[in-house]
Amino acid sequence: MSQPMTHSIASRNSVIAGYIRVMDTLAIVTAVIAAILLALGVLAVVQMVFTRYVLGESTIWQTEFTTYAITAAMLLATPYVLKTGGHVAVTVLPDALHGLPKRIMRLTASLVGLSFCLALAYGSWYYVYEAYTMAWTTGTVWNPPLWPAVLPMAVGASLLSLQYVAEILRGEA
Amino acid sequence: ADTTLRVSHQFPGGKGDVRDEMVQLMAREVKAADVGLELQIYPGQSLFKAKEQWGALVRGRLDMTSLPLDYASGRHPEFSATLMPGLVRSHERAQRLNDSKFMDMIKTVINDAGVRVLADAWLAGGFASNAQCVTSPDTVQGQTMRAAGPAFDEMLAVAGASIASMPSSEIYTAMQTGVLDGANTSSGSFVSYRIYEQVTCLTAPGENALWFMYEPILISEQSWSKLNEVQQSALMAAAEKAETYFAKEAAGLDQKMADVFAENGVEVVSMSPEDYQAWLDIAKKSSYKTFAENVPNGQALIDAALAVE
Amino acid sequence: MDPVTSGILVVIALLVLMAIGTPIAFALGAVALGALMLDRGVGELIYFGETFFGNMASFGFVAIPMFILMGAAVASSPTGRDLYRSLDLWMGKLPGGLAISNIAACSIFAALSGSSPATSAAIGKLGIPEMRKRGYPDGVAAGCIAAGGTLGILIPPSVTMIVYGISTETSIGRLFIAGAIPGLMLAGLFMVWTLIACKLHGGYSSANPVAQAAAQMKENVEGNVKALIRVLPFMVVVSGILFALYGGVATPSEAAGVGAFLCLALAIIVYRMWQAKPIVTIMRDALRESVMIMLIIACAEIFAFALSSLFITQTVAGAIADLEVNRWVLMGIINLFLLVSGFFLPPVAVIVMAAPILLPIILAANFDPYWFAVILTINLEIGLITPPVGLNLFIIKGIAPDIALRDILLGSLPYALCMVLGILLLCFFPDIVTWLPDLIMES
Ligand code: NA
Ligand code: NA
Repeated sequence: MSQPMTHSIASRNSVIAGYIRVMDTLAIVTAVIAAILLALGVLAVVQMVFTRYVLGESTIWQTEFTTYAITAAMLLATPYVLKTGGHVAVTVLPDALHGLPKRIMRLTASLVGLSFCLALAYGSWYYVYEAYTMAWTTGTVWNPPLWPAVLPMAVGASLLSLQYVAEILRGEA
Repeated sequence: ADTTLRVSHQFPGGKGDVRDEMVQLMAREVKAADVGLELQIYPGQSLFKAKEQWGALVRGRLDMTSLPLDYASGRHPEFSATLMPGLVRSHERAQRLNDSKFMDMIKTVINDAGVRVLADAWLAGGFASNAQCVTSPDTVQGQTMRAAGPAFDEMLAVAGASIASMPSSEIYTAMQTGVLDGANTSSGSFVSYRIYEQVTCLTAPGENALWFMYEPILISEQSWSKLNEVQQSALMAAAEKAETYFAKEAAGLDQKMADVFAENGVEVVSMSPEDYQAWLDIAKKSSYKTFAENVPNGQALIDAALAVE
Repeated sequence: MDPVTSGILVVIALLVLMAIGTPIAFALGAVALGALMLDRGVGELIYFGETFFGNMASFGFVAIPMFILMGAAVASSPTGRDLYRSLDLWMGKLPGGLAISNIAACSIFAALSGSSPATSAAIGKLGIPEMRKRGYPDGVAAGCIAAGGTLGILIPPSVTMIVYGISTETSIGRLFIAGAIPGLMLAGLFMVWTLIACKLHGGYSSANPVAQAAAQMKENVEGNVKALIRVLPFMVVVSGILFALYGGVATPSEAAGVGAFLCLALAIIVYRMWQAKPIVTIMRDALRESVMIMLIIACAEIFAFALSSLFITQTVAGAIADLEVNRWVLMGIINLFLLVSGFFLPPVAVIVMAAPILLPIILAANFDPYWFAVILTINLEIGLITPPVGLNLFIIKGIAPDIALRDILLGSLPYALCMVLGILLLCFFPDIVTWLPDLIMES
């Protein structure tokens, strides 16, 4: 009787550990992409300054590109920042508690955070969907399609939610 | 219980800006009509940001707004025609435009999106610069200019200007910090945002106003249909008064701008017919052409506007 | 529900969520979203993506990650170490000299970085262990780094001044200059207190015997000159881009982008940091801090939107404006409000939510908006070293986990009082703030 159960717990644990590992890897991958986007945003500004002040030519796409690239970087890196405990929180009260009350408090806080991230993911995908199906553009002289600018937010918020689940599982383990 | 409609705009509140005055007037009229309707005004982007207002209106998150329609051109490229260089030229013609096939076509797009126009308003505007007076196209060469929408951006870029995009509320700071050498916006905004403190030369609309922008008062169809008939007609009556008020003020705004700028030691010039034509030639090769190519009924819209006497 | 009741409920909900340990950004966002959905229906959820994106994606705000990247490039290089060595050599002999040179190093680093936690981290990593090794009390070691670090947002460049400038439509260049002299003044006050604190503890001239100190000095002179030469290019780059900003040549975002690029290039050239590892460290540090700050900004904007949507903002602003009090009493009330907000919230969150409400009131009471920006910043600096939310305290805790929180707090408290004194001085002598911007920008 007990053997299958131990077995199933063990396999459940290994599934959980596997999930956490996958999420941790994804968090690092998106963080690398974010770092590249941040660097590209900086380079676009440098290119713009050079074109405008040194060559004296007109600049069209750079401010918008930088804005979207860096915004994308910020949102894509959120899972990594969550994983490394970079989102500031006040843990004085939960730290002072022990046992069950502490666990409940931590779990509640995590669930609040998770619901926020899920709401953001939902809203973001809806925005991507709208921007894509209705062919919205940014309405500027460069006028690129809007959806590629919003997509990183949807991806970032979704991975952030999944990462949050991983953090909850990690904390419970 | 009373119905409260939330009205949002980006202009300074209670400081005499004509668009703020229009909605204030409507709020007073509706209240006086005593039909259980109240307008709650959120000025100066205190609820939605300038460019978010259209989206909010379409979905019924926002009830009413006074909006530069071109701000929504990313969603409805047709709206670029409402800030197209040289398409209007004078206030008299703006009045005739309101009842033309051109405006019917624009309003069809507005209505199809789930929005209704309560009051029309075409604001004239001009250019201001702290580098060089903007008259003929070659005067913008090398200047970093702020333009209000893609059509003007493109024309100015072709004429040799650098473009920096921003809402009108940011022009003052950008001029102060030297990010901009010049800007173009409406007469109302030039005065409201005290741009005269930052520039040396103003190109007033005058006889040949290159710059006109459609900034109507809009209501969400969802909010409109929730009103009862008495409330609807009270709102329409108020809107009519606001529109009349605006029509009376419109030309005066340009004079007021010229006066205020002159009082503050700013040189005031206007475009000659030759300057105007030179700009129009550039615009036809750039913004008009792009518009006709990229917007499904773009050419038809331009033709309809130009057909107005 | 009337705005006052809903306002109270919103604040209570926020405090509860923060108290149980929800990350501040998510707590702000969750409360705001909850309030909006209760008030306007579940449909608000659909628009949430658009609102959130609109809050973040502005060319003004993207200056922040780029300024942080610039600071990270400087911080990850041995600039901090070099700065620190030079200053120690000059001031090491004074009573409390090492602590004072730490504050000086913080001030100089503050001029290279726009962020307070980054300034505390960069100088503290070296300063705290060194001070403890030489027998300084834990409280002084932790306190002077925590407080010195707060200068990061007062001495230009400053991440929070960018947020203030965007929220209130004031000139960011002018805000930056306005912070310079008050920043130096605060640094001076911190040093005076440090001297007093060290005297009270019996003087910490140097734990080393005189001979040893002399020998060390001789050996250091050469390294010291080299160190200074290495720090110099960063100073030149950062002053260069700041002057471009003040002179009106560049926008904050342009200045930040070019500054980040040049400082990265310098870190690679001057300190030979071309291997992957230092670059990874720079990008990681920059991402971690800027994501944390940008997420708080975006969520604070949602929170502010919810407050405005529920008419709470307008009600509170109206109530303050209707207070028939002397303008200095009004200023006192506003200061108290900012101080208390700063206890619980990081500076950017307070600015996003409060600055647009307070500015019209400040202007109506005939106060200068740039002067007020400095007053507000110093209030928020106090918040950085007070519990429960003190970003600099978290940094110190990270550098020296074995120093008891009580010692850190007691050590920081006198510096917070120095800042209160600083605010009072600025109230009596507003020219300290306005003189330099008037001189530079009113030409
Ligand atoms: Na700084
Ligand atoms: Na605090």
